Amino acid sequence: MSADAPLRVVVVDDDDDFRLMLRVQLNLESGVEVVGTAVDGYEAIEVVGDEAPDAVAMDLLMPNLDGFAAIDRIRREQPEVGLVAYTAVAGRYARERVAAQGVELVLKSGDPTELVAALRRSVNNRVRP
Amino acid sequence: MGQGEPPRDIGAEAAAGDDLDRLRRRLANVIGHALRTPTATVRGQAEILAATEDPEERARAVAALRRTSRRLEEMVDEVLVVQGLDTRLPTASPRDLDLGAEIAEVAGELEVVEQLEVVGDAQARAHLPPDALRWALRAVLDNAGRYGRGPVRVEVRATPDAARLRVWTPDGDVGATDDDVRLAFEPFYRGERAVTVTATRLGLGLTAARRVVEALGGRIDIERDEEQRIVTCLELPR
Repeated sequence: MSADAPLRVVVVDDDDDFRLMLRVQLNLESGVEVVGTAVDGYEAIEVVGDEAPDAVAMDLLMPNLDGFAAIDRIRREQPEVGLVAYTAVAGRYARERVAAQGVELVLKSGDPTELVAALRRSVNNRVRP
Repeated sequence: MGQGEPPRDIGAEAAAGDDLDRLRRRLANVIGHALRTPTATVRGQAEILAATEDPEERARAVAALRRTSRRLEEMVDEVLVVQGLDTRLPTASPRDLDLGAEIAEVAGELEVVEQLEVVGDAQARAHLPPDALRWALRAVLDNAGRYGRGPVRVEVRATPDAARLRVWTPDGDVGATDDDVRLAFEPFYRGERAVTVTATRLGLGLTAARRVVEALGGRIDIERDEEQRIVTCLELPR
């Protein structure tokens, strides 16, 4: 990713309204482009494989395959992709688990500023191929 | 303890304290999960409306605001009904209702019910307040449709005094645990499976439905049938 290129992001959330909202909000942010969305962990792995984004905003509690497991798979298969856990509630279990995965956790909000900052950090901290 | 006071059952008080503490923790966890996403959606959609002139994006934001605020209203209604604040109990006068038609209409409003199959005395009628019946049906059908894929099956059996409805979750809901069955009507109970299927629920839908059904003089329970499939049983006065 060059210095001028937009941050290419995939948004993963099972809540339709929230996922679409986040897509619009991130696209309104300067220097961010949403290149794909997914409704669960399985679809996230597929979309990330297809789009090779710079970073992923990953919900944790989702049907079929949750965000914890999807993070593990993406970390293993595409370690160059930055990951941020974006969740409604972060109890001790969630915090400890994503910390062990080396992923930053951000609480969901209607203001995406904190998420965008975390996505940028995840790219700076990612494993380079 | 002063003279003349009744002896205290310390064990019972401790157990009650444990129950209360457990309920408090469950409440905080469920409310956090259920409310964070819709409240963030309301704020975010308002920001989008303020930031964009694109008519399509604005129309989408307004539609999402309507859906989300309706969902929040439903949560408030559930809390009020469960807490027995009679201001929110259904208030319509009883009238003669076609049960099959009511079931079909409510199911048609629920995205999670992909298909519906009504068998038995589908033409049976009952003399009930329509808003109360629909409240109960909505909770039961929503719960059934949410945890399986395929048609939700409803069997209607009518006797002179009562209408009995049995509602099966599609594919038998093989993921339900014994705790899920035992605690289904507990306020704010959400099993691990429920939270991962949909985080934005309070775990009060069936609790509120039971309160409404019992106020009608009926009964509602969840059990496993002979093939271990999950079935919700409603008994309503006719």
